This record gives sequence, structure tokens and C-alpha cells, in this order.
Amino acid sequence: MRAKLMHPDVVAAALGIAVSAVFFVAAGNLPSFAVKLAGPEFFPRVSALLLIVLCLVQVAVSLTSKAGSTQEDAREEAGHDIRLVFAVMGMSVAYFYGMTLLGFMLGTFLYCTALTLITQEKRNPTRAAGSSLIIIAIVYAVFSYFLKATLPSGRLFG
Amino acid sequence: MSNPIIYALQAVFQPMNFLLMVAGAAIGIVFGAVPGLTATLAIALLIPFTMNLDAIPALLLLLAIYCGGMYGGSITAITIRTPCTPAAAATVLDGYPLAQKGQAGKAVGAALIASTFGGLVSAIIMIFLSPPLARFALAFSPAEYAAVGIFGLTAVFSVSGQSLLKGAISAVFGLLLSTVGLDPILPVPRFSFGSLALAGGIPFLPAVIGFFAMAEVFRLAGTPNRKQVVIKSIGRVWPTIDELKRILKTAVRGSLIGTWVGILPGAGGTIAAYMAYGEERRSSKHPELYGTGIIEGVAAPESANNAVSGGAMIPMLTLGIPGDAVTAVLLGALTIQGLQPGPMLFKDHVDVIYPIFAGMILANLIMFVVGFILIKPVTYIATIRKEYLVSAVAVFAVIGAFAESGSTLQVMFAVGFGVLGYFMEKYGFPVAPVVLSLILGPMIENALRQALIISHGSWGIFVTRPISAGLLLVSLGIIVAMVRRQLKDRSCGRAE
Repeated sequence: MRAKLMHPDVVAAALGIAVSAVFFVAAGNLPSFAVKLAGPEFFPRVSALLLIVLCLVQVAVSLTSKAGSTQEDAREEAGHDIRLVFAVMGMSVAYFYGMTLLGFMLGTFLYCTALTLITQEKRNPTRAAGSSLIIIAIVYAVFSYFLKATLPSGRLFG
Repeated sequence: MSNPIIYALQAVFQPMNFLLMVAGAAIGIVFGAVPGLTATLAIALLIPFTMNLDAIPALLLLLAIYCGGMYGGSITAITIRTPCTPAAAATVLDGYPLAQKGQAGKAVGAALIASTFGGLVSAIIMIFLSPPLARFALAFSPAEYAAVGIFGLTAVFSVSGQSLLKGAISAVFGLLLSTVGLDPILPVPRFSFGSLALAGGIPFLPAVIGFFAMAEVFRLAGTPNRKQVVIKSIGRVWPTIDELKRILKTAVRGSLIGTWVGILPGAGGTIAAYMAYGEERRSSKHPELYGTGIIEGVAAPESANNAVSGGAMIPMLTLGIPGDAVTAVLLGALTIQGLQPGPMLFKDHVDVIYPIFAGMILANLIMFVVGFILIKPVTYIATIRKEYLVSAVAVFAVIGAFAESGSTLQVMFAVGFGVLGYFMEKYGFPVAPVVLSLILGPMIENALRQALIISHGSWGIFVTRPISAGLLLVSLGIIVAMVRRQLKDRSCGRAE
């Protein structure tokens, strides 16, 4: 039973219920309207309640489904490396902050090269750096010359 | 505008617009063909490009990507048995066996001809059906608009994947997210929790880039590297006269099925492709040949899935309700251009509507030529190594999110939604319904509340007005039918 309660679908449904509860309670602080059902709190509260109901149904379905025949087993790709995913997420957040310091060129070069290196089967720094330069050149050409859009500038480097 | 048809032709044949359509078709075909990329992703990444363009060139570019993307999936479906779009999965059934017999070129050529035919038929139907439907919708009151929005939400079922319950959870989550920001009727902030970033609501473009592009970057990063596939020679592409007749005969039925399915919000390209394939096999004198590698088995699903494009544009343009994930993103692109899809678009922006009509026809013709040229190159591009895809898509996504407003906050949203989207997809909660709801939520809420104001709080307004009642009944019918089908599929699965 404990394993079923820790099932990802149950955890996700619980999160959904928590988010809905926050919205439902927060909606109570919104001003009322002359026509009660047409106030700013009505639609969010209906959506929150509906989400709670659906999440409870999901919990019920997950708890009553047979163990070992779960959908996520079918979904899970063989060899999917979650550590790489977390690493890329971390790098993306670092890129976002790094760009404000280092600017587009340097920030993107470091991000691209790091991404390429960690996702390569056989690490090849030269190839990683080379492909990053090509990507930067294409992005710069398209956004700066063709679209005349401003690329991010950094506090340390332009 | 003295003659709208001449105006439209002049617009689409302007050199820059024409070039944009050629580029769009090529981009769409490549994105449709490369595993890990989709037409929806292409449009999401390219919307920032279109912000500095005028409305017509922007829309022509995106339409060409849409048409190209629907065909592109067939190339790898046939050559390496990897359908890169769900709708191309039906093409594998006869396409790959044809490739195994050494007739990959014939299969790809059949897919291209059928796709073009399907796209053209649905574009023509769109041109004839849209104006009268828009005129009819001009008489809609808020009650009808609310019912239309709810009807549009049934499109969730076409993008929910295996679990309708999880798709519904995603959709309602999206409705909840759509309430963040300023209230549409009273100017009060909702659910910003003191944050300036949320005061304006969930920004659409970063949400789309996050859910479709960044989430895909994270997913691809964790996927093991594929074995490099060596694609043998494609062979002859152009069919014989007899084969051409068989392709076109099959494509007529597939196109009509696809257009009809595209109009219905609750169905999409995948359903259209399988329905057309099933119908073709059922009506064939030799049904036992289907699955062994026959040209009709490729032409049927391909004509249907491209015909969905024109069909899905009809409710999107006339009523403002997207029929699938791609039209949801296209609808967002129209809004970014300052155009509000719906009947007023046909009244106030005829100068945009007619070029869209002409553009859909021309986009399919351009797709035919570009598709023919790209058949062999795409089979090599499709084997591009994962690490280059990951870094290229990530950079374009981040810069695209930044370029909209020059704010790094948008990038934060895109990365955040990417993380959320990755985990949602990982555990079977599709993200397309969230995007659909982000678009439809404000429309439904606004119309619902206006209708209740008019009726002084009485819900009867939704059932006493015949169009509203009819749409709600049809929506309920679709929901019940879909739920029953899923329960039946589940119990059949258990019995096996």
C-alpha cells in the first residue's frame, strides 16, 4: 500500500490538489461582484474544484490499478538518464543567470559547449566548441541582422 | 481593396513572402522528419522570428511550416520506421514494408503526392466554409461563445495521448493557470502573490517555448544516443501513371475524412490517419494486402493527416478555437500579431484573411516542390546526432523567449515551464492541453461571466439559447464517447 501511495501518479495528483487548494483559498480574498456568479473568484474556484475532483479520481485509479502494469513502466524509455536531465536543467538555469553577467556570445558559447559535451557519447571538446560557434553564428545572424532584435548583453562583457 | 483575390495573390507572390514560404516549408519538413522535433516545436521556436514581420508574411511563414511539418514525419516513418509525428504512425504500416522491398522512393513519392492533394482539398474546403461560418458566428452572444469555448476544450482528447484522465487534469490545470493576472472584467490582480512577474498573467510565448521546446531539450538530453542508421538508397521517387491514379483515388477519400476530422475539435491528425487507413482497407477488394506494403496504405493516412491542417484552420479562424496543439500555437501567433481569431477577423481584417486562404493553397504547392527536392537530404538530416539537436534547440528557445520583450524574466518562465513540462510528460500528463487551456480559458471565463451578467446570474441562458445548448450537448456527447472508448480499450487490454 505504501508503494502505491508513493506512486508518481498519486504524488502528482496530491500536488494538483495542493495547488488547487491554494488557488481556492486565495480566490476568497478577491472582491465580490454585483452578480455573485460573475465575480473574479467564480471561475478560479470552479476550476480548482474540478481539478481536485479529477485528482481524487486519479488517486483512486492509481490505488486500484494492478501493481506492475502501470503506464509509466511502458513510458519509461530504456536507458533514460535522469542525471543528465538534471544536469541540463541546472545548466539552463546557470545560462539564464550567466547571460546577464557574461552577455550573449560568451554565455551561449559556454552553455552550448557544455551541453554538447555532456550529451556526447564520446566526448570531443573540439567538435563541441566548433558546433557551438556555428550555432552562435546562426543565431547572431538571424536575430541581429535579419530580425534586428537585441541580444542579451552582460554586466561584465557586452 | 477592390479585388480581394488579386490582392491575395499579389501578397503571396511578393518575393519576400514567397521566399518565407519556401523556407517555412523546408523548415517544417525537416522538423517533421527529425526524431525529437515536431511542427509544433518549429512554430513555437519561430514565433519570436515573426514578431518583427508584418502579419501577412508572419502567417504565411507559419502556415508553410504547418503544412511541411505534417508531411515531414512520413519520410522517416517510411525509411527508418520512425514516425516523428503521431499522425505518421499509420504511414509505417505500409510505408516501411514498401521500403523493405526496396521501394522506399515510391512510398515517399506517394506520401508527398497524397499529402499535397490532402492539403489542397482541405484548403479549398476551408476557403468555402469559413466565410459563411464566420457570418453565422457574428450573431453569437456571450452564451454561445462560452459554449464554443467549452466545445473547443474537447480538443483536449485529441492531444491527451493514452490517458484521457491525465489529459483532463492537464487541461483544467491550464484553466487554473489562465486565471493568473488581471481579471478580465474587474481590473483586479489575481493570484500574482505580490509578484510583478505574474501581475500580467502567464506569458504565452515563454509558456509555449517552455512546454514544447525546453521540455523536449531536457527529454532528449536524457535519451540514450541512437545507433547511427545507414539509410540505403531511396530509389525512384516518381510513380508511374497507374500508380498515380491509385494514389489520387485513395487520396480523395482520405482528404475528405481528414478535413472533417480536422474541423472537429475532439479529434486530430492521428485519428484522421488511422480512420482513413481503416476505411481504405475496409472498402478495398483486397484488404489482406494492407500491411504488406501497398501504395494505397501510404496514400490514405498521408492525405488524411495533411487534410487535417485546412480543417483545423476553420474553427480556429472563424470561432477562435484551436483544433489541435499546432493550431493552438498558431492562434497564439495571430494574437501576438494583434489579430483576434473569430468572426470579427473576417469583418475587420479581410486584408489578412484572403492572403491566408491563398497562402494555404500556395503552401501546399510549395511543399510539393520543396518536399521532392528534400527527400534525399532529409534522410541524412534525420540522423543528426542528439547532442547537436539539444544545444541548437536550447539556444534558439532561450533567445526566442528573450527576443519577445528583451526581458530575462521571459527566459526564466521558459526554463521553468520547460522543467514543469518535462516532469509532466515523464509521468504521462500531456502538456498540449495546458497550452490549449491557456488560450481558451480567458475566452471561456469572459464569455461565461458576461452571459451570467446578462441573465442576472441565471444558468438557464446556456440551455434556452439553441446554439449554446446544442454545442454543450455535443461537447457532452464527445466527452462521454471518448471516456467510454477509453474504458473499453482498458478492459480489452486487461482481458488480453
